[in-house]
Amino acid sequence: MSGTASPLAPRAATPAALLAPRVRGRGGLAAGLAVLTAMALAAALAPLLAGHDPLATDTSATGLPPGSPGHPLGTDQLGRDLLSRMLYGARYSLLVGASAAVLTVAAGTALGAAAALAPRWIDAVVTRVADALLALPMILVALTLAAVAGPSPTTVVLAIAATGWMPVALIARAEIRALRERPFVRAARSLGHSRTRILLRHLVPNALPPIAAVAAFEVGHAILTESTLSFLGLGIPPNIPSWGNMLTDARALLLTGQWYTVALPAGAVVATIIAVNAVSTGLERPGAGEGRTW
Amino acid sequence: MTAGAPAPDAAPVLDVSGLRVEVGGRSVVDGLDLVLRAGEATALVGRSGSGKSLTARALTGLLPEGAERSGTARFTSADGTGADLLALPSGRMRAVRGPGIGYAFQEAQASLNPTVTVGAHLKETLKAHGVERAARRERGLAALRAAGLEAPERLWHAHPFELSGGQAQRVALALACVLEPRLLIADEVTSALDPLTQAGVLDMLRARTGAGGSLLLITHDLAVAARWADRVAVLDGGRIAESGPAGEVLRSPRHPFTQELVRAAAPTGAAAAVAASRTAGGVL
Repeated sequence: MSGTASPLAPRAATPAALLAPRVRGRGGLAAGLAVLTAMALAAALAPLLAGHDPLATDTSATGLPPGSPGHPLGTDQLGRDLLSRMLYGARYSLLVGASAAVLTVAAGTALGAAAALAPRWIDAVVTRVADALLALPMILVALTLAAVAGPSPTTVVLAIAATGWMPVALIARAEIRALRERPFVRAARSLGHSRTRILLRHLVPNALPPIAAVAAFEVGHAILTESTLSFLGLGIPPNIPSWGNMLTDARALLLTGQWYTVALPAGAVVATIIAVNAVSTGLERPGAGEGRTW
Repeated sequence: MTAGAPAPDAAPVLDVSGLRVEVGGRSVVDGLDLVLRAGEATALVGRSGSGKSLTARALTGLLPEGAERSGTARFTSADGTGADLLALPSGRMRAVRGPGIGYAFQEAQASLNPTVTVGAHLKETLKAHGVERAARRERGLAALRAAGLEAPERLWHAHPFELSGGQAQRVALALACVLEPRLLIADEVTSALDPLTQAGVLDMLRARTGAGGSLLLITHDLAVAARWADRVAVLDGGRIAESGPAGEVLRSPRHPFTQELVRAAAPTGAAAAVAASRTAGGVL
């Protein structure tokens, strides 16, 4: 045994070392991660990359097509540089999308775990509320919330979480209920572990793979809802560039030959959602059996 | 092979009386009496579905949802204090689980959390019972070594799916033993192992009684009961049909069910051969 490289030899637990074997041989995962990293970098470095103020209008340069000198992606009807608007828009759209998705998944998992483990009446309340919200048209609930609280990025995040937590909660509840009777949970109880410890260490981590699949869907849902609410004027205030606001501005131009004003933000939304889904699908298939997913 | 017969008046570690377990309104264990003594290995035998595991789970408070239990089970801790396990509040029961009663399950691989490494399993269990951080790794490694795993450092960072069936069983046993429980319940722990590995694991479990520990071997294998247990209790119809010293019960069973059980095991020859070898060893 000694001297040979054993697969059981102690491994370094750096994030890179943990991620490398998962990415290797899985093109979708690598591509998804690359797209998301590029987008996050572009958003973070927007002030350096953008050649113009995304809000500055220029009446001498309205409606320029992509490839125009000084405006690689062209300008909109008010002469605002589209590349700069896309870069600054990514900041709001990605930030709102990611924080809404995190909040949705966290709230859904917590409510689902409570429903699975707490007294029966809590379970009844959570599942009835979830059923009722699922029966309502999502956009109606989001619209009402946005209308009551006034348009702001925070409102958008809360509206998305309030309308998106139900599938996560129902899946978490079902998973945790099933896991409760699994031998390793019984074994943990037989060793005198506390309830909190068993929940956080044994139940939630093992319920995560199916939750992660929904979480990817929630990121897409969040970015789309942000666009929708902004498009309807109830999301991110129109003076702030976001992909949704860009779509709103461009909606009249779709049929007038300036298709790129719609295609750019729409393409960015679609690319983000596909990249998130590719990462989620890639992570779902562990390289070597159960337990390596995380 | 086995330690000399313990003194008949050795202190009871667990004294179960009138244990009843109902699952969905159906009585599965119905008035079971059982005494487990220090330094003694007791085999609880019976056919599949006779309620052996349910008995152990009732005693440790690990019954599945919808099962009800009643009766008394007086457990005496190492410091001499006694308590009825069936009446203990959950906080005190949690303190008994681990250092008081260790429980090794039949499905070893499934009884390890797939997302947690071998080392983390051991460290977290020691932490849950207040063992200081500095001592955890050493005690964990010692438990793995005692469970018959050579070079346990190599397994420390392994996830359960990386273990072979035999390794997983030994890790699960190390985990059940890491807090040095006064009573170890081994529930069909060797059923899935080859005979050589089985013998190694059972020898290791048996050795624990030498230090004054008590062992409850749950098995449907009479050969295992004959070779490794001091006493045998036969479970039939939710009660103990017959109990006594292992050699006596298996050589000349009195209860019709035990006779049937011994006869059914006889065609393989293993039970008889092992029982004979044990008796011979006892004489020498």
